[in-house]
Amino acid sequence: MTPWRDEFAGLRHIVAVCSELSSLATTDSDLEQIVTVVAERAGVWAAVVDDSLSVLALCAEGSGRTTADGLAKVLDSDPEAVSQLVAAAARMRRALSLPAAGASAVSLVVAPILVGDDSVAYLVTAGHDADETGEDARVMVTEHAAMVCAVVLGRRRVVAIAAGRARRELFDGLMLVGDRAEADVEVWARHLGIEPDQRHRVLVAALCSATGAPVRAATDMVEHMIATRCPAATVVNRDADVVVLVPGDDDAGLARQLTALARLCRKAVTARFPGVRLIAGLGDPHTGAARINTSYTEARRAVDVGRLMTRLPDVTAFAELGVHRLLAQVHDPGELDGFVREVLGGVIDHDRANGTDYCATLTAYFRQNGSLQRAAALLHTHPNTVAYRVHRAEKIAGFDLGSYTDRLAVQVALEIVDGLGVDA
Amino acid sequence: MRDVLAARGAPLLGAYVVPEAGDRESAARAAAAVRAAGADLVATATSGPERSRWTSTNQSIDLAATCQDRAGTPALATVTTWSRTVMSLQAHLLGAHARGVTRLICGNGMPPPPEERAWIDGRWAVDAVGLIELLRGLNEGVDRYGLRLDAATHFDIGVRIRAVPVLSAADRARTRRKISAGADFIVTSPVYTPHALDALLDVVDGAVPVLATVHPLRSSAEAELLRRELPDGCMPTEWVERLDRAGDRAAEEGERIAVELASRLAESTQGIMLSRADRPEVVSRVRAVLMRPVVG
Repeated sequence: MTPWRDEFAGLRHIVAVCSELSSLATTDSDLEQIVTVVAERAGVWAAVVDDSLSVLALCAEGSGRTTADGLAKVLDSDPEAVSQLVAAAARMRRALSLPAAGASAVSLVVAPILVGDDSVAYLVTAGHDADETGEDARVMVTEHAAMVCAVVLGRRRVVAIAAGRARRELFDGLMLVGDRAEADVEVWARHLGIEPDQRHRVLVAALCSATGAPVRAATDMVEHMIATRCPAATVVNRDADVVVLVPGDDDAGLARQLTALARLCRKAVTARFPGVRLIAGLGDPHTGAARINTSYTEARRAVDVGRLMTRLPDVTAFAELGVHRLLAQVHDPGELDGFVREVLGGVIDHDRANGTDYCATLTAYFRQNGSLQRAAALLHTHPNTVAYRVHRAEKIAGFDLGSYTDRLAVQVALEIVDGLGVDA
Repeated sequence: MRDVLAARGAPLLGAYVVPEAGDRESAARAAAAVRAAGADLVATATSGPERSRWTSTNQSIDLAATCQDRAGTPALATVTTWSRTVMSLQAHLLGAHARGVTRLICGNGMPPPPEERAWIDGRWAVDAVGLIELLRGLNEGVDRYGLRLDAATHFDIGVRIRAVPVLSAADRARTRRKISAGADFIVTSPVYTPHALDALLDVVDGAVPVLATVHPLRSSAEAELLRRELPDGCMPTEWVERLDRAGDRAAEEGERIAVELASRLAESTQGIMLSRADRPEVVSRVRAVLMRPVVG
């Protein structure tokens, strides 16, 4: 065959590959099928990878082209350069090539898979280009295949968004509306796959940034973490927070599980999104779909208290809020500061000036229901020392713990200091 | 280039690193050696500056990245357009940019000789001017179709231009087109006499920096061959005679000629590019004769 006929045949082959890829876009194909066509027809290694170079799709087993080991070898040959290429492909939103090192080495082409404004993944091909026509063909096939991947993923995303929106509206109906007929609520619950008569708890994970900027990426991450670790839960992403409804009859066990999960999410958010804070609130356990709204309201209240009382535990349980439920109703922290100052100002000043721990001693004393022995054990000191400090605090601040009103005021002030970290 | 010029001041000194078959290791060694010998930068290609093979662009970029990463030497990569579509050129250029190779020398390239390829059809989808325009577009944040990129590139665009004593009107127009298309600097073909550079410098008229390429001759036969093949006035008879008289020591005489020539060319250009990096001592000797004003 003459050279120009060779080349013409090559061009017809490329057209055929692109046509086959286009046809995949019109059917309910998955990424593996697309990668397989690229690998088999273009005779290259091919895979879809994410930002961290984790492989999301390889060509089908038995195709004879790509194996996990083979591709890993290609990607691992110069991971830094490949990472640079992937990052640049995301930034530029265009296909890039990494030249072969030496005549016998493989070269890489990376094409971003763009869905909306996001580079959701990357199609990577690696191979030996026999000549410049092969090189052109590979760039073109890789770009085209990435576009087909984007069509497939885009279609899935549209479906997921529509389903998610409907799901969120139903969930909002359950969570936010308290005066619906029980029959309606039960129907909505069934639509969401929730058994109407089951016992459940609600966890709300709210995310906020110091600047007030949107934290969508962090919310998405938390939603993903919870959904993958707690498959029985109904998880809804409500932009600024993630609401989780978890069924279960073991109240204490469920509380422990959700608290641990919220702490894990909080740790991940802190590590990946500096400046973003996760505040988790846990509602009480309730039975029946009609009570979902109650559990959500409690979890929401717990979040509000946690947002205000920054020194409370990182996961705030509604059941353990105590007087903080009322204190959180005071929206002006200055009011709380003023109250603390009025009751405990002298003791706080004395602690600061002299390095004493009278406030901490008073807290331990009250938490142990006025027992000098138990407070002393908690503070690792002698009961006489506790008695002395309590007496000194009374003298310094001018209150009388024998008085019901003084004792109540001091306890409330200490709760404020404990929750708010009052800097009075 | 602008950064290197600003940091080092003219005249710059560079050398072509031309390893066989894209040998990364030897490229990195050569770059480190010429850097230690006083070169400010290296230029990479897979064959001599006189001819670019069809594989040159890919491997040149890879070698430039290697020289920068492993030897810490600023590198210019030779990019040629022969037998490449704009699509693949853009992919290569963005890949180069991702790897930190941002200083380029654009050229048309040449087909390989017949014995290296089944046929030669001389295909150019774009020429050097088209390549410069593509690069300028990328620097302005638009791709080959004029579509907006999310991030602009920052290429320093060099172009390779033939330096001969007499330029035709078409040659002059073409040089002006390269500059107006967006070339930031010029690297000449090998120059064997300052006289050969005059016409080009007249056309450039100080618009962009010019780096003159100096090729150390190795024998009188090589000089004689070039004298016959190059346009009149490119190869002084004096060089042929000196190399001839040197006999077995012609290569040393060729290096002496290169040092003399570099010294004279540096008076009218912003730098010298030596065609070979395999002799660091030549780099040292040229560095010694290049006057560099004290900056500041």
